[in-house]
Amino acid sequence: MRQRLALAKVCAGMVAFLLLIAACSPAPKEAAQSESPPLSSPAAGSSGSSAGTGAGTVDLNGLDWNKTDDPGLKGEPLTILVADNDGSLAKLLGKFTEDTDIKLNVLGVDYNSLYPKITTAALSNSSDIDLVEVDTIWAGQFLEGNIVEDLTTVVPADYQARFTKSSLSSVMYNNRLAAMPYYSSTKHFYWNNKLLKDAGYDAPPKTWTEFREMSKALTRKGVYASGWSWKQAEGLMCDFVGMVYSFGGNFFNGDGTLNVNSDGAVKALQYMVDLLQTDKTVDPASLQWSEDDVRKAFAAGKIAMMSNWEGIYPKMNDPAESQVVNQTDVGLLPGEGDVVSAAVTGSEGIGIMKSSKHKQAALAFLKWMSSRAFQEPNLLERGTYPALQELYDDPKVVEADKTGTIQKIMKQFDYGRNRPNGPGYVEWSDILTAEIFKALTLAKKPKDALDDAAKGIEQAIAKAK
Amino acid sequence: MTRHKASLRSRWFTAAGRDLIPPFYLWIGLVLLTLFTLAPFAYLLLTSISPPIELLSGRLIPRSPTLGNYVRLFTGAAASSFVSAIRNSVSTALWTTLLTIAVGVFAAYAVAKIRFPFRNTALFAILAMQLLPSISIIVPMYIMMREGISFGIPFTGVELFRTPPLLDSTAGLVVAYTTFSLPFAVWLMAGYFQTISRELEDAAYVDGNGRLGALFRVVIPLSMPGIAATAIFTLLNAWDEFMFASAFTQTEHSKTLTVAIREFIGRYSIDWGLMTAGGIVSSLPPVIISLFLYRYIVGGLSAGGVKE
Amino acid sequence: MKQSRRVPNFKRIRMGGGKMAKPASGAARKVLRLSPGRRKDWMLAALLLLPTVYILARTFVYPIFQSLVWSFYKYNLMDGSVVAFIGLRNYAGIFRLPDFWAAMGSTAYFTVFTVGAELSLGFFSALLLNQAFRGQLLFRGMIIIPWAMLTLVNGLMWNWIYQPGYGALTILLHQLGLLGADSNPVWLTSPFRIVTFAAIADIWKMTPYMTLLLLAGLQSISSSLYEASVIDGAGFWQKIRHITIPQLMPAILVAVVLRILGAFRVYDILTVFTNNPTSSVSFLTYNYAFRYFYLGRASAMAWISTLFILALIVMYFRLLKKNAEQV
Repeated sequence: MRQRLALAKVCAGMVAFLLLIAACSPAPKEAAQSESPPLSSPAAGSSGSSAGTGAGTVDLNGLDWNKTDDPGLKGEPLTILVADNDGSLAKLLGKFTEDTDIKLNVLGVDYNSLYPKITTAALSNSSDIDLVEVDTIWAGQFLEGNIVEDLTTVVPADYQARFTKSSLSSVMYNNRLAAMPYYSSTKHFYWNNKLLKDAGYDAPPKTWTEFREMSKALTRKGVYASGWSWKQAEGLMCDFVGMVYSFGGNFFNGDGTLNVNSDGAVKALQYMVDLLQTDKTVDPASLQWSEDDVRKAFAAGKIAMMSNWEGIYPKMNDPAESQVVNQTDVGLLPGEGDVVSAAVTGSEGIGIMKSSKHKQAALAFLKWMSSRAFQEPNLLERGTYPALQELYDDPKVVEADKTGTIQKIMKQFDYGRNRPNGPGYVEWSDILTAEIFKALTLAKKPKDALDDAAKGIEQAIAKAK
Repeated sequence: MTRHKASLRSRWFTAAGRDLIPPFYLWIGLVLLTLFTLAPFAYLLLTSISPPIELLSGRLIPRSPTLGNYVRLFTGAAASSFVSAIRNSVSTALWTTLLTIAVGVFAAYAVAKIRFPFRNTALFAILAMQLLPSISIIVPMYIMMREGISFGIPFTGVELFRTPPLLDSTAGLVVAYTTFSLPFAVWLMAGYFQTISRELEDAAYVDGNGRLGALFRVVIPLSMPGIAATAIFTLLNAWDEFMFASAFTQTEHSKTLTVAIREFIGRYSIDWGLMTAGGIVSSLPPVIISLFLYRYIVGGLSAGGVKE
Repeated sequence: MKQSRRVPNFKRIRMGGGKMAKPASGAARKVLRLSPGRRKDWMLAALLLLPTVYILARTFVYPIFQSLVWSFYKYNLMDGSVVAFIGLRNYAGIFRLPDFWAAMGSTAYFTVFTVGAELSLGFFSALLLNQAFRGQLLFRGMIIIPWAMLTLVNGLMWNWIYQPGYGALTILLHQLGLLGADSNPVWLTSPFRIVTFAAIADIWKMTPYMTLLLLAGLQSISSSLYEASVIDGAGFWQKIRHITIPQLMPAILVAVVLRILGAFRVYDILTVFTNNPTSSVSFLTYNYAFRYFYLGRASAMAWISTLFILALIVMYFRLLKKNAEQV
């Protein structure tokens, strides 16, 4: 009886305390509503309004393409967030400060940290970061979420025409431009000539059926035919997308809606499962690997074939870093049936944060970044393929290429396929990769996994409305 | 001869009167315990002094140990962010501990020594706060930090003072960590204060001190070990915290060691030598502190907090 | 009538310990007469508590209450949608989410596995360290090392050990002959295996904590009990069953509950091994909050875990009370 009274007292005390707190808190609706304005209203940085404090006539927060050379921008501080694993990009970007006297502070992180940092910066009302790297898959979300400035009308149409079709479409969503194209990237097919010859093959496979046959002969004596980045992350999605298009599938229905369980998709997933679990020609560690791990295994001669992004050469022919010097080559990814080849694009852009306080200077940076002044050394020194069309047609560039791979790599861009970059992409990708991973580990049949993924994505889209 | 042998064997295999475990099993157990405890750590250490080429060769002990990984850690591309992360971790942990102890001591004294109405409610509340998962509070705290904490007069909506947005700042992290450390610290310190017998306090009263005088002159000095233990726990917990640090910090301005290590792992995902070196360096402070102040930690765990 | 009966109970509770009869309250009154006034006491108590209470109320209670309110709203920070009150729809949605149940199952598995293993290993370690022998202090200090290491570094270390091909686990198994020379298993493939191996890493780190807690309890068991049992002819296991465990029950209960609560919240260490958010409830909630910014849904999910833990706390209090009544 006494204990019950004590308990009752305790409960009463807590309730009273909570009511006290409730009474002095602003109603949640107000607090919550104060969130919407900063997100949905056009931020106080739309062209025309002058909120800057700079000297001269230039509006520091406007977005005027014609004023990007204005000397009033000198000395402006800019912060850019990019993926830079070894510091080489930061050095290259230093040239911008040399050329224009605008102080550029480079925040280099690994690719996986980009998305959380950008979203956190945007949603924490912080104006610390002015420019961000925008992966093609985020274009829709960043536009709809008011995270980056819409550049459709800011960048003149004739300037936009200077980019390759693939790189420009990568940074657009719904015909709006989310970012200035930064580089082009797609997955390529690499193989080890020596290992192929040892197994009796003179040429790499042209179709996935051939690939499967050759894999069986190539897997022996501690070497696997292939390794993939099938860890449950975006890398898995990239490989899957390429496969789906190879097998004649498509991620979009005729009316533009998303389709993840088409026949081609089921065939592609079944093929991946067969390679890994039935034939056992894929290095089982692939389920833990990122693209970097695959490259390392390839450089160590542990796998005969791989699919990977650019930038492999010249390191792959450097004896200090690789054990397969001059044994490897690059070419088109295999196709199947009518499809000659299909590869997923990974082109990226650089966008201006809506919360930035130095938008004009940021625009000046974008102009510099998309010009030869940056795109050419980025290609020749770092092996990153440009977004500018003219560099692909320039014979000087081909001459300067010491690795001898530019022309082979460029061909793949003709067969590049974009991922669906709608606003919900991050969540759709999470759902889809989780299901694909379950199929790869034999927890579900490929058809069931993809059907469940389709259901999950439908629900996510419905909830977002 | 046989009797000697028999007694020797029985000495090894039977426990002495007050002991539980026969010596033979005791030493086997201790060897296993040592292996279990130290082997992984030793492996981490060995990896951090291995040159990169040897790491993938499948050898446990490096043939040519080198400090190259550590050199790269402090002079390479990651150096500046690593060093600033260390600085941030130190300052966050120290400030949290200071604030928690300074504020908590008073509350602990009140809870331990003064019988006031709703005391049991307070005890229950403190216990409940320790046990709630941090995930339930992280979202509103994020929004709170984002807009700045406002101090005003309740019931009227009048705002006296609003801090600037505290995201990406050490101050914000200190506030968050203090929130979590306070209940545990109060509970622990109250447990210590309760062990100070009433007579000692009464002696202080006889000398003409009030309650506060007794607090400062008698209770605190006598509970120094307990307060030290609480401080150490708070420090170690703040050093090790990850969830809030990763949600609230952004740039090198406030990023702590845990976030830096996480990014390190992401960035250098295949450079095991560099990563393990970073791991050792960031674990050294808590390990060293724990080894030196071991007695206080054990004391803290055995006090067990408020008993009544 | 009722009121007069309630007042004496109130006084007795306040004085601490319900069973004390008049003599104790008399002594208490004597003590109180020495300190300057009861009312002044209460005011002082309020003053001493004020900073703590204010800080906690502002930065703990208020946010918790806010998160409760937001869990009833559709509140998505990133897609620019309108904030709207939707009642229990968030909760209903979460209960229908298969990911949520997968995460709950994973967390339950992780909790049971780690707490069970830590309890057994900790118990025997405590027994070992409780015995008096030379160098005892050295061993007791040594076991702190795993616990003092950063959780993330612990994860990193074990991830390295589990690497296929050149990680220590594979190498050791090859050298011990337990693994064929060609076989090179990949340890971290399925979500189940990932959680199991992450649990092993957590067990390594937290067993010392358990050991120390139990050690403290063991030290209060008087050795005369053991000596008496030897006379009765008790062997090792009988001693454990009839003396050690019953005497240690309170410490065991405290340790187990603390660890259950800690294990349920697991997040940090899992992020090193996997990106799969269904490996724990905290991971899923964190993803919903800071990857998709579905703040309403994340708040609801956090509250469901909170209620679950509160239920565990209530059970804990009941168990404690039962244990106190038995002793």
